[in-house]
Amino acid sequence: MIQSHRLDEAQSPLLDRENPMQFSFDGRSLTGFSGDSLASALIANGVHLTGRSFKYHRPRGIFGAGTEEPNALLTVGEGAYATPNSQATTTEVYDGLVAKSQNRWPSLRTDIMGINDALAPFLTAGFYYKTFMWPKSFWEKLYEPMIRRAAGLGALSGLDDPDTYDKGFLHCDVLVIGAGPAGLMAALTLARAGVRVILADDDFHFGGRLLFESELIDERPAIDWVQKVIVELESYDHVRLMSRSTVYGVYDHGIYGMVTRKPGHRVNPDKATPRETLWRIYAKTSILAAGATERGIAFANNDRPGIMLASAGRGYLNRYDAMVGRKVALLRNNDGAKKSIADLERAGVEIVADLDVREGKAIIDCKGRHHLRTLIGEGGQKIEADTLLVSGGWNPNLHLTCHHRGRPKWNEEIAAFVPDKANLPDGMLVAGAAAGHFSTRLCLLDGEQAAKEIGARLSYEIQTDNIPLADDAPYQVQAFWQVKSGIAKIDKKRAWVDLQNDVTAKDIALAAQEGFQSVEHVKRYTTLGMATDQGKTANVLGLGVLSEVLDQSIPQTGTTIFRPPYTPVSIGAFAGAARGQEFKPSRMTPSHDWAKSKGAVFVEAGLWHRAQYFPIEGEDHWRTSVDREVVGVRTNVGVCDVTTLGKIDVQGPDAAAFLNKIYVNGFAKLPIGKCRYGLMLREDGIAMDDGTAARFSDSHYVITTTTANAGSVYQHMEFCRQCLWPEMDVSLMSVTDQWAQYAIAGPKSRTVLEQLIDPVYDISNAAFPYMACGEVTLGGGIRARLFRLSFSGELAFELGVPARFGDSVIRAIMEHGAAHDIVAYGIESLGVMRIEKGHAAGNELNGQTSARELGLDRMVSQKKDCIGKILGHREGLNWEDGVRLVGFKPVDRKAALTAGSHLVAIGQEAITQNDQGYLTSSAYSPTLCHTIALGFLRCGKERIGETFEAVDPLNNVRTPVEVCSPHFVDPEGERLRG
Amino acid sequence: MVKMKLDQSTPLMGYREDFFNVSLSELSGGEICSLAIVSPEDEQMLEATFDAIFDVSLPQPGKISNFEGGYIFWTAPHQWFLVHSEMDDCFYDRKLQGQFNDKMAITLQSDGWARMKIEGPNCRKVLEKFIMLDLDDSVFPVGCAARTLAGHLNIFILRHGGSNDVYEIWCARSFASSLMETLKTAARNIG
Repeated sequence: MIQSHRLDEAQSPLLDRENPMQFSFDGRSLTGFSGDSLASALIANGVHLTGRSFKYHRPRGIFGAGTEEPNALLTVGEGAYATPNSQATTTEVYDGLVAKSQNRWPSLRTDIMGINDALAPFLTAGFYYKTFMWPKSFWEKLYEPMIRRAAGLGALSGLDDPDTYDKGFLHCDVLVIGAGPAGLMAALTLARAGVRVILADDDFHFGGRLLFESELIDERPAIDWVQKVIVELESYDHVRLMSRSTVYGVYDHGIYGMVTRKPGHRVNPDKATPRETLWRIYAKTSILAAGATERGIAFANNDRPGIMLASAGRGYLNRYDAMVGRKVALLRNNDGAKKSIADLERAGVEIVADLDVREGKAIIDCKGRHHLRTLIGEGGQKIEADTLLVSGGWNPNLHLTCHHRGRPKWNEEIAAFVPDKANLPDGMLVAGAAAGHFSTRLCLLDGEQAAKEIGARLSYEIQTDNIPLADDAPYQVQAFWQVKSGIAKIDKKRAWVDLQNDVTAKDIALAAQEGFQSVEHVKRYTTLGMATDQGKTANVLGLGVLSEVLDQSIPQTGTTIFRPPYTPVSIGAFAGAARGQEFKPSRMTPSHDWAKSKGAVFVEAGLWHRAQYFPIEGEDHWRTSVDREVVGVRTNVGVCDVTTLGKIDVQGPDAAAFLNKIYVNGFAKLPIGKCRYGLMLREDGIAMDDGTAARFSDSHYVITTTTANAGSVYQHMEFCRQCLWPEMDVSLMSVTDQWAQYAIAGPKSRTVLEQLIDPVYDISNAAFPYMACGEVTLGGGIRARLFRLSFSGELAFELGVPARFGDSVIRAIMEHGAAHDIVAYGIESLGVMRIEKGHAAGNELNGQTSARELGLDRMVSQKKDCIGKILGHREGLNWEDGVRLVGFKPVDRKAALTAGSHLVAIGQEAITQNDQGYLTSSAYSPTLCHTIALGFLRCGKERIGETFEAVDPLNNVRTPVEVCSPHFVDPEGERLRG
Repeated sequence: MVKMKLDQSTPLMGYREDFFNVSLSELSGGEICSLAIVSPEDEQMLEATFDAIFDVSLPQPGKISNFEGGYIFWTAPHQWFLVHSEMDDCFYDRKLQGQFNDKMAITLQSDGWARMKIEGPNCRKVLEKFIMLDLDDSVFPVGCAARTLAGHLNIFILRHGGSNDVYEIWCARSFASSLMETLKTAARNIG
């Protein structure tokens, strides 16, 4: 297919004409070449009209050639792969690319919402702050949805993003941001000195502005110099070249955020490589060489397709061999833009006017709804042109210098803001056009100078004076913001300042007139500088217009500064690979596969996946399974994986003294071969965690923590060891993962264990009584630890084995227990049995309860100090009428109880003043055949036998309950000592 | 007593997979113990004892020392992890304790860790996807070890010598499948 606006003869080395790319735009099939951007391919095909504007739905065309583009935002890709608001100017064209225009219906040329343009007098800036006031309820239901539907950019597909993303970390001495002349020169100079450099550029070719110009370096096309430099940089191991990479933010301590896009797009994206990778770069220093962005000049109807930046006009020709028009005019306030004339004329384009506002020439209006046709000159003369190139000067791309709240300063000589060296982010230097140096030679010199300065900072010997011959034309500019014709009819027309947000010079004047004169207020009132381009072409122009309205200088008017990101970053890139199963890590016990094979239903307990219950055939409700498991344990024997409990090795001559300080109860006199229940308090006297400590030698204990607090208790103990009592000779080591541990509980547990443990070990009640512990061996010498502990209240043991044997040991337990009707039980049954037994757990140790409230006050040793003891004496924790842990049964035994219910006297209103306590845990007890609960009740122990109502306001249920002992099963402990 | 056979299983079930210029494989076998000097007054004596037993000094912070049959690396002040690759004895901590006259806190760690070996020309490109440390030769040369994060996981990373880059990554055994997924994803993502 013929590309109507492509040069017949290939000129640019950056375009691969041997490699054509078929793509479509709004269903129209078009052809570009490898090396084209989507915008250049459209221009080469004579397409300028690419979208409708945000508010007025005015036809808009391609305005720029890079990240500054405000208009040409397209939806690229289809279905779930569709990416809205993709800049045509930065999107690489690829074979099969499908692009669609946005914010129009039914078509780009005929957009029904274009009626908004006719309603413009009613839709000025802030119109919705003043209208749609009545009726009030209509705002959320009608007006806002209506406005949102009428205005806007592209829309998300609403489908899950099928692309993959990744994240990573990079390190360097110097991060060079931008690979134009300054960045390349800086990187080259540093690289030759051996400095570790990352050179990042958002384009898919290195070269920056040099790619778009016809300049010579060392009397050869500039691109030759660029390629030579890149080849040299690629030869250094200590240099990393990263194209398609946008440094979007500067963060604390020399950390930079960067996104790298996948090289080469594909119609059927290859899931193996991520679409985008988000990098956190740790750089000792950085050089910002991000170049500059041209800005426009406001005049009536200056938003028509065919009106674009002068630099873009020649850029499309020089880089892409694409002609932006046949009859081109130029409007400018500086000398540099004249390069466009020379370049376009050389390609045979007719230049119909060169209007320099400094000479009093201007364009006051123009015509051509879907494409520019006619320009109206300052004297009313008509100029037939299909393209107008505009240059209102250049703004250094200093965005990143503001990310630590640095404020740029105004430079009148170049009529632009430049970075203020006094308030740059730590370690950052700015070079080249980003610093306000606009000739190629100055950029090269500046890059080398920055390299030299950094070399001195980092103690590298830098060789300089390698600057090649380059253009050194001075940049002559005169600030000029808006054309005013003096003709009322024309000056009433809208002159566009921010093309992406449909902000006009009149809107800015209106904001000022209504008292919004601070630049921050103007921004928010008019939406100037918002959305995807963040006002790259609009901010300074808007500020200029505002300063004219307020009749004051730009420094007096102020400036807005920039926050990250420099350009939009996909949310997916921030998530990286942490999606789905990888959103957070999972912890599995050594018996996980076995449990899975037994049909276990798992529940997440922190990061652990724990077997909740083990349904068998015919069980269609979790309660059925749990009831069976509980009855099985209490009648015969059951096994439960308790590997997840925290386990900490405490060793050293001061181990006992250390534990004495950590726990409320004493451990110094605990005999070797014995375990003891222990309670830890926080410094404020509130219960922190509980567990057991087993003594294996004079200087060696193994303590357990709850699953949930394993990490925090270890951290707490390390803090105590390292910071509070560094003089104590004690060592801590987590062994949670080292040992697979199984609770074997039930009247037949000893019988089952005796078959597993090597016969040399006597685990009879006499030899291995309740709370005994010791090392044993299994299977003819395999190491194990045995603890006579019981959470269920039954005769029970906990068997610990090195995790390598965890899977085979649980299989062996089940195999040998089969003759005794062993059941595997999960944490649901564990929970039921501990409530039946009256053991406090996480619901009771809830960060609000003291030892006294838990009924454990007698455990607090009066013979020694421990963490939390002093503050545990606070009045608020020791009220005589404070709550105490007790048990509850529903008066109607068929009724259920809900944890969290509050207790009030029968018939009393459920309000705070009447609150007597609350239920913490409840379960159906298959042993007692009714629901039971634990909870805290004021003066609880003295009120056993009384009746209250448990109020569940969420379900509007009041259930009469009887207060009882928390020990529902075997209160005397005969079973567990049996 | 009923006769029974107890098999051993490794955290990653012997996983091994090759990707583009990088290979991942589980490291298993041998015994691992943590060693800690508990009483400062024993420090010199224990260091000398270690030298005498293993013919190498206890490594400095961030370093690995190799001895015949294994290596030891620094993990915290006065604390090291010793890997004896040729040992197969889950009482190894007891034996070591005996060698140090019960003056060192020694804990068996062989079962507590999943260990993955990552090697090949692209291994650093894989590691930089989830490890924030600077792994450049100038910063993390052969013989270095560090405790850091791999994505969400708390890990040790060790760099060994050889003709290619060879790293070991350790995470708590229960996190083994998450570590494997993290590494596989990163290896796949580099192409």
